[in-house]
Amino acid sequence: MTAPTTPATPSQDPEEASVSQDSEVLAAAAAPIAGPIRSSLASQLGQRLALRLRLRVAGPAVALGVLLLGAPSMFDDYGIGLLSKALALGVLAVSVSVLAGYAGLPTMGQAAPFLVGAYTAGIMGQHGQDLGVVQLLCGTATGAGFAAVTGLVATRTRGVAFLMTTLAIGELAVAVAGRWHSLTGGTDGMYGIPPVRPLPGTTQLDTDGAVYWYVLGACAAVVALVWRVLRSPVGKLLLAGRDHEARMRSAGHPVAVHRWLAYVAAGALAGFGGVLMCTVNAYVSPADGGFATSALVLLAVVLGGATSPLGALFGAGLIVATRDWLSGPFPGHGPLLLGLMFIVAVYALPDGIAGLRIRVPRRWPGRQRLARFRRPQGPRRPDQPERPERRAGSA
Amino acid sequence: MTDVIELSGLTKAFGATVAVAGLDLAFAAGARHAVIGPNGAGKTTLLHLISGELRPTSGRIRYDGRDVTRGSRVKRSRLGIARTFQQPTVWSSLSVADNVALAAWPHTPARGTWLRSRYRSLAEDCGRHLETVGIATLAGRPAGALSHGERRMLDIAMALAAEPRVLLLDEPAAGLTEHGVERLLTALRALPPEVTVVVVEHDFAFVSALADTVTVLHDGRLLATGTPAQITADAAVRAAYLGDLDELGDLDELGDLDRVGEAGGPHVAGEAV
Repeated sequence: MTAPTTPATPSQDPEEASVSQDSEVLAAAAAPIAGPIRSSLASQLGQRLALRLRLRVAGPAVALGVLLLGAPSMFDDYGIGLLSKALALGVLAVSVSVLAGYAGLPTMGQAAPFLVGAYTAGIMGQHGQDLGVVQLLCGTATGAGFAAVTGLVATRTRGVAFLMTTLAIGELAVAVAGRWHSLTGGTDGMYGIPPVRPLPGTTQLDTDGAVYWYVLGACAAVVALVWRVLRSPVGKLLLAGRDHEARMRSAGHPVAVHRWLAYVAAGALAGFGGVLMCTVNAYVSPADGGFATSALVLLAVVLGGATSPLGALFGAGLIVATRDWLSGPFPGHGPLLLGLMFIVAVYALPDGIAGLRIRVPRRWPGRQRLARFRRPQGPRRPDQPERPERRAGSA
Repeated sequence: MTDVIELSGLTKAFGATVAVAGLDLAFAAGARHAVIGPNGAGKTTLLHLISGELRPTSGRIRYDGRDVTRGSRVKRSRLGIARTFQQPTVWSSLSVADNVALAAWPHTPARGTWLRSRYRSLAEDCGRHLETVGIATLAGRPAGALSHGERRMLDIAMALAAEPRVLLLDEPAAGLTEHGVERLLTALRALPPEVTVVVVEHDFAFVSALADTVTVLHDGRLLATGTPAQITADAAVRAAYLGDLDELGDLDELGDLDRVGEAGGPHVAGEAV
């Protein structure tokens, strides 16, 4: 595959060439999973997808996988606890990245459904329902319900107005949580939440390590689900609505409904994250869902790259690490370190952590023109016989 | 022939500026109807009003016998009114194939398009629209990386993919090469005869090649309606719009200038993205 692909542009564009080779390998590898590719159009789509998969996933995924799987042997109990907390916040960050990156709705109030989910889990735990799965399902449902109601107002607005509306919703949720003593315990918070049993028939999670594996599993499952949905045509609908809303309407898509559904789904995700946070802390207070949480998570998404769920997870981890762990030697200076990190990130990584790999070739001035001539012409043709599955499919 | 779109007393005012002033106009089913007029005559506003992008200040719009004056853009699109834009608008972060498939999505009889497999077959099916406008080789390219002319062709393919009953084209030939204009004419002539095409255009050569009916607007009012030959012969039109033959020559030159701009287009677009 290498020899016929490279002659056109090897000297000018080594980065591009290696990328396209890998994308072909991936496309070929994906073929049996995706079913027979029926036309050249579909194979081109496959190549595109594989290219993006490689660029967007490989970097963050490998780093994250190594860190998460190796963590229990690398860190002490405090470090493990922080990592669990970062994962719970990470689910919240993923929900913000769905809204900000895909639906084009940067939100300042996503901590509100997060708080709703956390209280749902706390109340269930206090009333003897300590099954993790049930708590997760119920927290997801209440988060979605909360978003379904508030979304009726919030998704009517755009841009700064949306930012302000969601900020107001978030602050209102915190205020209600602080006042509603009988249900939430008020500003003192909710104590005495027993550890969860993940599934029926399992024992309670009584060590930090066990909680970590539970949170990691739940987190991985939900992020995989989000990933799959965003990669499906649903993700394309959202992206198109973000790119050009008027054109979507003109094509006959009910964009307002799409936005509301995205908002509800993000609320469900945030609720899920809230349940995990309650499990990790065994304590819920209104402060968990305040403005600071919403803002930090939005920054985590900016840090990670807005359209990358994995990047968002990574960003959340970086923030928790900086605020609670790195600041150990500099007590009281956590916010300063965070601020420094953001300044560096905004200047050095305009596309976020997930954009690290594609940033360099994109800056190169000749790239677009080369890409224009590379695909439809010459070098593609001779290597066709080497990929019989594609040729057979198009016949 | 019956009228598929009837406008009665249609008025649109932007503050003190009246863009469309009490227009009474009907578009016959299956017509190839061109709307021409000098800059600021209200042509694009008229298209916006018909498609539902803008709400009229007063007046009625009837489509297929029913009043759609208050119907939203989405609703009218689903009823079969598709359009292209003066500035070709596409979803730039998606591929060309995805753009057409998403445009066809609300209009396809297939259900469950949000499933990968159904969506894929929809996208494959839409390949024919890309072939019609001659950009099938670009199917995998991100739409944001297209040149101006390619983007316009994609915009048109997206309108075709909606399988419309009424197709509104806003200056489709502007910025196209001579070859592109020919391809566009072929594609439009290949449309089923029952499809109504309303085209706003400056290029009179394009208009006379396509249209069977021409309407001239001036300051938001109807100046004349007739066949292309009648319009070029009409004294009032000449006085108000075409002026004399010299100015007609100027118009043609303008069209040529557009094409010169297109020749440099790909490079400009390539660097801008």
